[in-house]
Amino acid sequence: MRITGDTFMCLKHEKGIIFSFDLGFAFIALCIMMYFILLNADAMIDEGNSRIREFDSYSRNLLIADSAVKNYDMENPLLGSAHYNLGKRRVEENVIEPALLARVEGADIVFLEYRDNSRETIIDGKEKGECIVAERFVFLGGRKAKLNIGFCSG
Amino acid sequence: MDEKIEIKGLELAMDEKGLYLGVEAVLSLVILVMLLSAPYAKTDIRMDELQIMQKAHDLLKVWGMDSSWNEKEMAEDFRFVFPNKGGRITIGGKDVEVAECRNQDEAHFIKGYLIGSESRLAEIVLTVC
Repeated sequence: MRITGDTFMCLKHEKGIIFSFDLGFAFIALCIMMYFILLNADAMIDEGNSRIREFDSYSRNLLIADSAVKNYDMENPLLGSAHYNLGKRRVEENVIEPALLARVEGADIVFLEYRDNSRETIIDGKEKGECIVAERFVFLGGRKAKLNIGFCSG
Repeated sequence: MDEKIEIKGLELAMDEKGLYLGVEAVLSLVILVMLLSAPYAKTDIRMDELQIMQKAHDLLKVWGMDSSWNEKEMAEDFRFVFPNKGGRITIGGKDVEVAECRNQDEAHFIKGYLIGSESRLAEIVLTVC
């Protein structure tokens, strides 16, 4: 078995060049990665936490607004402002009981927008920082309206 | 024993000019691209889709209380609830155009059944886009 000198030298030479280029490339890529990770680590963690908090606020807000228009709760009208129909013995979803809505507590913003552009404020959360408001379409006192329930971060 | 081995294929491959990237280099490149694209990944914090679905269901429930199904009134309600969106209401196969769809690809379809006067049942489809 004999490997000719030319072939051997050629293989050795080419292998060395490829290995060096490869390693160099990977090393540069790794350095860039490390640079970005170190540069943005704090910012990324902060952004991640802020997104989680924001997501939490949105989901909580949507759930509370959903509960308000679907349930009847005399103790906590924020979680149940819907009308209870005694004749039918059931809660009428999306039909709001004005007396219950007037007693709502716990939210930072609660107001109604009617189709004729009139507005009725139940809780005014002005000057409370950044607020997230959930909007629902309801029937209230024979009128159609948008019920807005919001919470503020301030 | 005098046997000559020629590795012609390998020799030919090595002679070709160009860039040679090994597995580790390709992996590094892939990870780098993933890392660069990660901070800009779009996350729907506002849960817009859920809000649209909830409000569309609200419309169906409120319309369900009134058996007359006045198309003009329903269109007004739709515009009131979705002021910045296009869409249409399909009542029993008949389309009522409310506002022109700007982005058909992101349209949401919400279907429900309502019982009208004389116990007639109709399928209502709301398209929000």
